[in-house]
Amino acid sequence: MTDYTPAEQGEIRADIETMYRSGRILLPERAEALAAVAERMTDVIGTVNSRSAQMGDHRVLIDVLDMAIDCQAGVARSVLSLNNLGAAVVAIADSFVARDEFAASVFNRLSDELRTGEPPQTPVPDAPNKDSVLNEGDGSEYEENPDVQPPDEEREDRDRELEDRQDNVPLPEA
Amino acid sequence: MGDFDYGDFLTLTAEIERYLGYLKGNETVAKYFQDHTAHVETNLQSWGIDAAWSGTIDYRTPAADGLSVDFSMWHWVTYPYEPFDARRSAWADQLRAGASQSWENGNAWANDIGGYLRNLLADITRPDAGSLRESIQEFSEARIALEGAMPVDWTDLDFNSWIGQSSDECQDVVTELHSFIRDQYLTYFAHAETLFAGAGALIVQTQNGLNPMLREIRDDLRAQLEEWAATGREPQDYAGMNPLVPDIFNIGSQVVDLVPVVGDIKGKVEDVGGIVLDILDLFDAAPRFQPREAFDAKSAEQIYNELTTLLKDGYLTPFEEAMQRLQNERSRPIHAAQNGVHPWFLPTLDGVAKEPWQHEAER
Repeated sequence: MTDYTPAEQGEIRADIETMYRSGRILLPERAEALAAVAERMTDVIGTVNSRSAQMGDHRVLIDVLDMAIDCQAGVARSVLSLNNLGAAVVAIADSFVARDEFAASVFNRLSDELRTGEPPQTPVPDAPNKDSVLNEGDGSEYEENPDVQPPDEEREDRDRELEDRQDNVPLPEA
Repeated sequence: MGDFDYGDFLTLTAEIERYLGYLKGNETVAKYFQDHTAHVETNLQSWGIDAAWSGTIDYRTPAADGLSVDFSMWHWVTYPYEPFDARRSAWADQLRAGASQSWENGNAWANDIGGYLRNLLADITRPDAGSLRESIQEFSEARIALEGAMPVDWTDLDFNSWIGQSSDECQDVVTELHSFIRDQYLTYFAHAETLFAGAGALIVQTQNGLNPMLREIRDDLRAQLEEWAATGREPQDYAGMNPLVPDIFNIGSQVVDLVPVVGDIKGKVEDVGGIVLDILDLFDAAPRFQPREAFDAKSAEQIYNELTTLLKDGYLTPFEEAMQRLQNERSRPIHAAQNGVHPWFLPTLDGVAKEPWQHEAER
């Protein structure tokens, strides 16, 4: 943070350095961290979707996926808020610098990192497609478990087949 | 790690198939001989033969593992010829061929019963306990990363270095963002994590009880076949099967009790790691079984019926009910609470950088 001498205080008293540091470094760092987490959440959702398919896509697992997707979407959207907030803080600082001599003199002493370039905008991560993730059996690696015939029907098929086969087993004739 | 060994499960279902085939084979041969006796008794007169002679037949089933049944131990057959009649031996040859075919047909009745049982139980047997545990850990790591991306002290960005509405608004946005992430996204993501861990524990505990149950059924089947092999006929003093049945209701209760309800995580996300570890402990817990009435099934058909009924009504259905209970009592109200949070998304602040800003000193 810039230390202002009593003589320097006046006009627009804003810590120009802190503003640029927030707008160009701290907020973008936060945005990047959140974007990375959102990607991880997407990976987790993919894994859970596969496991869910293996387990038979019970409603509780569909709820888990639905909830997690909404959380991921919230985190991903927050990246956009942080991008815009960072750009706004830089814009405020720029406007102070443009209108205030003292602010301009502080600005001129800042490092290039804080002074130049557009405020970084972290790409907003994609959200998993809810419709396809929540579609039962739609695991990315595993297929849905097979539908099985009811046991009694299955057994009746076996009995019928055996009967047919036994009908063809001859009994001796005198 | 869970106790369930998928290789053992494959072996057990294959052995149950083989043993049911042997049993059905024995029964089909016995039935063939009984049908033959009725056939002789019915046709004796039309063949112009006066009398029939009860006798033995030298036929042995080709079952492996000491389970071959010697049908010569009892008078299974009624011949239309007396013992020293030359035609009797040709008759017996035909009967042996028929018995042999009946044995094969009986075995074929059980073809792929193992595959059917594997499909029937796929929801329970396909998930691998080790992979499930890893997936739960992956979930936990993402939750920890989310916690770390928005640390508690992060709101201290010092937007107070300039005075005016804009600095207050920036501070408000950061405070709001912080609370959206921690109180909404992190909270419900952690709920989803504990629910997923709970569903995993339910599967693994249910799996852990499966092979012991199938092993008893296999052993009981084998005991019956040994009795057939020892006596040359259907077991006479059969007490019935009494397999161990996992107490799925109890397993479900344990899991549901460990999974937090709405309100148990918000502001207490640091407790979630411990809760998940408690749930993961269930992966290794010894399966619980419940007492059950013996099923008095003797024939292959009855055993098939009892076995599949037990697996469906006594095992799969309670498992599905326990999963449903986890939804009814936990995920549904939690999900509803999440859906009731408005607004869910933080304002995106589009165009905010283009707004004119004024310092308090400029007013």
